[in-house]
Amino acid sequence: MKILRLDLLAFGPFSNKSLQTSDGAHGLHLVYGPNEAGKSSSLRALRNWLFGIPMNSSDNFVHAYSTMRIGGLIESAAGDRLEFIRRKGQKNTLREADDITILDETRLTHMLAGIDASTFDRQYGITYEELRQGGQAVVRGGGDLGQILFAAGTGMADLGQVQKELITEAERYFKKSGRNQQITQAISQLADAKRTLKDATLPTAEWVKRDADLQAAISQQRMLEEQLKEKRIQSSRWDRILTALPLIGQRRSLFEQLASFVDLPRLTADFTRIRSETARELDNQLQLEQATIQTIAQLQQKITEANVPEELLRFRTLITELHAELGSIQKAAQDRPQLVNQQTGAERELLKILQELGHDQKLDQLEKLRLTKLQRQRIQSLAGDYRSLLDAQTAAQNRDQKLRKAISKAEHKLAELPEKRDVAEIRKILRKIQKSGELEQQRDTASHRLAVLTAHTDVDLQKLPLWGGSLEELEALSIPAIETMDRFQHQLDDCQADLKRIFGRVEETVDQLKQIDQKLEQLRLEQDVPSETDLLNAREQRNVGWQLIRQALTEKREPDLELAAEFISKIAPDDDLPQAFQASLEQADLLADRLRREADRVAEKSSLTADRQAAEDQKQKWTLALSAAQATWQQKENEWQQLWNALRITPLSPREMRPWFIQQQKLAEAAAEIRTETIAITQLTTRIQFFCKEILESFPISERDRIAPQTPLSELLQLAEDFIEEVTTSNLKREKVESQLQDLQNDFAQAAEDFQAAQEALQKWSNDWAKAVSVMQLNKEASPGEATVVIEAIDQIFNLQKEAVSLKERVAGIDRDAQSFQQRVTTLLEQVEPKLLKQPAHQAIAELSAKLAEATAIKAKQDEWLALLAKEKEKQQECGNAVACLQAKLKSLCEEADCQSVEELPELERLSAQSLQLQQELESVNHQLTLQAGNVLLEEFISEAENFDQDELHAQVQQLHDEITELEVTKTRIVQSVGEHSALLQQMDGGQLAALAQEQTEQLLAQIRNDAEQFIRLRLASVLLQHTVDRFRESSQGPVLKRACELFSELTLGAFSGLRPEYDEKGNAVLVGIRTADSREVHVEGMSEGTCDQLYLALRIALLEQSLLGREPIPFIVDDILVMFDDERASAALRVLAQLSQKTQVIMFTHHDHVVRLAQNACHKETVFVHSLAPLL
Amino acid sequence: MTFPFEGLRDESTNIRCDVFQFLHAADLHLDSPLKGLQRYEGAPVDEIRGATRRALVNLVDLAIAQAVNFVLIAGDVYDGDWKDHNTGLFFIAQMVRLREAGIPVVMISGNHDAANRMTRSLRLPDNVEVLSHTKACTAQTKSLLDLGVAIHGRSFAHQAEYENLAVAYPDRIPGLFNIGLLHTSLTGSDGHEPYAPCTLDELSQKQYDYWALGHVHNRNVVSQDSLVVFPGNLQGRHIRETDAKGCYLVRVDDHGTAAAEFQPVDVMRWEICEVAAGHISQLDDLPDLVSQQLLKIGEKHPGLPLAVRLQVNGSQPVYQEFCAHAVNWTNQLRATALESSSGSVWIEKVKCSPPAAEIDLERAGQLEGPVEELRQHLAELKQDESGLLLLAEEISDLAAKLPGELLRGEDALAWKDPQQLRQWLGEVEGLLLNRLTQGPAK
Repeated sequence: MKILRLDLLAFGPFSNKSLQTSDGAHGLHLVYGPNEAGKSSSLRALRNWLFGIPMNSSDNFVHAYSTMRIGGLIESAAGDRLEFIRRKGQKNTLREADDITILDETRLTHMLAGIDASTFDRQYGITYEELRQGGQAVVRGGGDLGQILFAAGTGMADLGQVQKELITEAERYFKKSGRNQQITQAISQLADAKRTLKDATLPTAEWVKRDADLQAAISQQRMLEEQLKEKRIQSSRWDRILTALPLIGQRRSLFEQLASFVDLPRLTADFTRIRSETARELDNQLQLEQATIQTIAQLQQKITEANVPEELLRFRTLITELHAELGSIQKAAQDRPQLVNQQTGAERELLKILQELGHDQKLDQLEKLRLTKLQRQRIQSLAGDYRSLLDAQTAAQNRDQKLRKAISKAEHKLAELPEKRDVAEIRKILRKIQKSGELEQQRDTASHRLAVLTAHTDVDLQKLPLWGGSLEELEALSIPAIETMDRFQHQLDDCQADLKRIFGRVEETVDQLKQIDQKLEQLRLEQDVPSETDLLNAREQRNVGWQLIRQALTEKREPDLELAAEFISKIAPDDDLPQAFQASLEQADLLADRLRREADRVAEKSSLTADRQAAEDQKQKWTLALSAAQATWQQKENEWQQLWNALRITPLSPREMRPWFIQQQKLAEAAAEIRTETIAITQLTTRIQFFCKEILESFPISERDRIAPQTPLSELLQLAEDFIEEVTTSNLKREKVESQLQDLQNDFAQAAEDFQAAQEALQKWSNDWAKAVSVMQLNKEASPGEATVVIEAIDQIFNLQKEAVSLKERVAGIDRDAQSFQQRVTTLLEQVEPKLLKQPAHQAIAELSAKLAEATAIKAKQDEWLALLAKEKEKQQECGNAVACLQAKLKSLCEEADCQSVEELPELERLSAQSLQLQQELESVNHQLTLQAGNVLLEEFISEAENFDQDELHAQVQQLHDEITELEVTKTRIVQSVGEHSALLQQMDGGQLAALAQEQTEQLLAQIRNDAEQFIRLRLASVLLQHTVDRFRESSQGPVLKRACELFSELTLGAFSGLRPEYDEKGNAVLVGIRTADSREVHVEGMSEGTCDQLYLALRIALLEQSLLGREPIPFIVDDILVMFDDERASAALRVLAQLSQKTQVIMFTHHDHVVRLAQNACHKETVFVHSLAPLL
Repeated sequence: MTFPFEGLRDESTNIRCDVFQFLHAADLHLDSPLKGLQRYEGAPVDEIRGATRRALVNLVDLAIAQAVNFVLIAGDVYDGDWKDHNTGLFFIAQMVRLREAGIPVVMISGNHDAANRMTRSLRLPDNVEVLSHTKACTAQTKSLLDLGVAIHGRSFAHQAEYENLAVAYPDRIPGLFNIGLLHTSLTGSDGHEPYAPCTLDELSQKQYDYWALGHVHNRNVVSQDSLVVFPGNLQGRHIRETDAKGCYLVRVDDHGTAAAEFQPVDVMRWEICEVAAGHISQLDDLPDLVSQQLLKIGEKHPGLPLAVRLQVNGSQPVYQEFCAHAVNWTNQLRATALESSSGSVWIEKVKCSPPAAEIDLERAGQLEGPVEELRQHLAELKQDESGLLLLAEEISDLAAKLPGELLRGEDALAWKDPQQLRQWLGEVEGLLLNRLTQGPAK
């Protein structure tokens, strides 16, 4: 796939910026943008275009999220093209070129050969930071070939870290010999839990055993209880017999005593009491009978003496009634005269009213005057209506007049107000200008800022050394890049360091020479050390001497005198030849001896001599090197000078030029800022003028004259606002008055209608009224008041009439009652007491009443005595009966005691009591014996007991008691044991301790299982990662390493000739570099940082090339990785990238123009293409 | 505790046509522990404690509340290898409660009971009749015969009864309501031993009115004609025993027609919560999804604590992220569950599956690089059983230390099993892809 065009439609700082990247086979495309030009934004845009804009993208500072767009065109290796636009969103973010039609995302995915964003970043992108991390990881990994290749292949630098984390995490769970690991600890907890489970478990066998124990104890307890029961029965029987034996004796004696009483009558126990009580009662009754007889005689006498008037008592009811009526008759007689007066009074009043009304009718013709209820209602209703009708009419009239006045006032007010005016246009313009903000203020602020900026910049410019030109010239200067300065600084520093180092070496060699010379001198001073040469010379001399001697001895001829003389003069000038020869012989021997003796010193001397020669050579070499370094330094210095000469600046050192450069950059920025500000001010001024004109023209012509020319915009705006407000207020006022007037006219029409209606109602009432009052013989002019008075008078007449009739009836009634009373009294007196007839009726009746009361009292007394008499007679009868009864009872008692008279009874009673006592004693003894006998018959029990001997029995009972005590002790023990067993069984209560312990073991097992699985995953991951690293190394090290080797050599400018794997003692493959200079292996630890970076880059590119074979190419995105490369190595890197661009598109983003220049110089024109991101305002 | 069958009590008063009613339960497995629940902070430990016992208490409460005429238990009261006699004593205590309420119980022993020594040592109260294990017979409890009910059955004599027990069951007694009580797997059921096999036809031929079966833990009304019913076990104990568990309340009207109605008595439930997360691209969105799903599940089982397995079906990135940080994510989802359920949900396990085989565009795009090498390596390894065994040796040191329980049985951690190893390799692949690609940020 190749990117043919990238359209930055609306993204980051860009609007409709387009990058054409279609040139070249694939092409190395350099996208250059200085700082702030949007290099990073464009790099992000490329990613976001292909893979979507992230949710929280920060590239929205110009274009809102909704309008963000990135578009472009891509082409597959097969030539298929796809043009599409990416927008920000959650789905359907891909559109076709029309920015409307939604594009299926899979079409893009196919074009991208299915790679996703992270793969794209990882494998097809490299940044400066990644390059650095890669380089560092190469060093940290100690050159492990597998790791380096793997990391370079994934684009992920720190494989070692991943592996380390996997191992650490796994060891948190389990470690073969560890104790504190999660799994190990859980296993130990599990063992505890299992112990708890075991302790809590109740085995069935144990329960069965305990249960059996309990059952055995219970049955033993039962058996003991059985035995005890038997013994106790025996014991109890013998105890009873022991108790019974004395009683049996006593029983026998009682039988004998009782035999003497056999013939006596048996009297009952209470015989004596009955007998004496009966005699006493008989005496009492006889006395009572006597007293009663006397009382009866006295009563009969009193009754006979009393005299009762029976006649009077017969008329008791009538007398009482008449006496009661007497009071009301007397009261009525008193009231009568007053009632007669009231009647005549009422009749008089009535006549008087009639007269007033003008009717002189007789009283009996009054009915004609009576009004029906209907007539009365009608008149009253009409009278009531009259007032309200009259009020309605008056009110309507008043409103009519009031409204007339109000209307004329409102019309007058309206005439005074101005006509309506339209301000829409001026308001529209005003708003538009207001929206643009405080333009004049902005302009003033900008002007101020400009002035300040200019002032500061001038001062800074003055301060800037090495420069006398203007600010604009300074800004336009093409100053060397900071990187170039850095480079020069490095180079000059390097040169100086070299110089210093070489100079040091020269000095070192000079010192060395000095030391050697000193040592030689010392040797020489100690005693000149003989050398081999000295010996050779001595031997030669000796041989010369010998030749001379020999000639003399053997050839018998004279030695060569000349030679001999020379020999002698050399050896012993004062002697002859033999002496000289001897001396030479001795000298040679002496030298040989010394040589042997002083061999060390000889050797030292030769060594020193050799060293000296070597030091001399070294000095020579370093001196040469020093001049070469000086030349290099001088050359660099010249280059540096030349770099600046073109700018007419004599530079200081690169280190000093750096702050100068920064100052210059600052000034250049200031110049740009001044320019921006100036343009802004001009724009603002133009806009203000335009707005002034526009607002002025929007005023009505009449208003315009009032405005002074050159009025500032802000004042114009204020005037416009005032004008709008004034017109709006007056328009509002006018509308209000118009609306009021309309309301008043409506009200006026309504009032006229109301008046008309009121008049019609009054006319109708007048007709009705005439008809209604004619009944009372009133004419229609009579007012409702008059009619009311007449109605009231008529009412009064009828009331008075009613009252007179009623009074008359009451007087007649009183007269009737008095007469009837008199008649009834007379009749009564004639029958009862004729002598009272002469007295007035009410006196006679009072007297008669008093007599009646007296007679009633006497009668009551007599009745009381009669009752008492009857009672006494009854009492007398009862006494008689009682006496007879008691006498009969005494007689029967005598019969019972079998005697003739009552007097014999007491003796008989005494004998009988004695016999009874013996009888009772016998019964008591029998009773006690029966108790002892239990359910055996008494006689049988006695006869059985009589068989026992009391003393013997005592002994047997004692023995039995002992046996019982013993059995009880045993039983207590067994009962206790039963209790213990059942308590134990009760503890086995079905509790769930064991079940809960089991739950806990399950929970621990679950935990161990989960942890174990997690551990297994981590362990396997760690192992498999290592396997994969090894595999990858094996599969790729051949071709990849070969290619990487070429690339590395190229990137290091031939400093390294190759790379190869070395195997350490453990058999691990380690990557080493081969240095060209000396063919030495250099381990990564021995490489400089930059070289490590280049090694990483070489491997990355080699792996990328490998992976491109036979597949759809994907563009390789490079983000400014050459920052720290020097120009030569940067050029080399660019050449490598250009080579890569033969296989796939390479897009490199950079801030640095020198990179662009380097690329243009280093690469073929048809492979490198530069795209500039225009500087932004 | 609130009475769990309050609603039923009202309902029963409305039904007047019932001649009698009984409860049919099976597979109590008393004190059988809940499996697979790793304890963690906040998990509802107390709420699920002693679950099988509390389920039995609920069953007895239900019998008393409904005033049923009798209770049937079709085998497996205990767990075969459980040795604590207290379990039996607890069972007796519950049976005594039924006796006090005048409710007779007829039961048979199942395979687990036959295997357990406790079964024959217990003295059950006199309201409980255990049918003979020597031959099929009819229950002798007098009150049942008075009611007009004949209950036929046979207990297991041994743990493994491979004979067809049903054929020897007595003939139907005319005029009575005939019930067959049988512990069987019928013609076989997944996860259950094929004990006392028989066919539905053989049961039908007996012409009984109701077959009360036990042994299979999933409740199932096998036949509606004359009811043949597995009530399932009383309380789910692991993730394979999901949904409500309980017994059947059977009402028989005066025509002798039976109607069985399921009554839950369990005290906690197991559920598998599937979370479709194929549409999310990052795991941070997962807790919300899980929370929603759990709310739905919670509504299905109001008021009961739940043990839930989360089965997340995720997209590739989600799957890889989960594999890479499985423990963290499990903890986070557990916290989410606690929060959204007010502490009543116990997350048994969180499993994450990758999307089903899709057109592997990503793989197509992965060029010849280390990632592809990793995939290739794992793919080869999955096909290579001897390679897998060699790999398993890497974990032999751990396996040597693991408790035996984890290495045996149905749920064993089969660390040498190629299938299991393949699954782990899948997860390892996710883990490594995530960690390798989410390496140091660029």
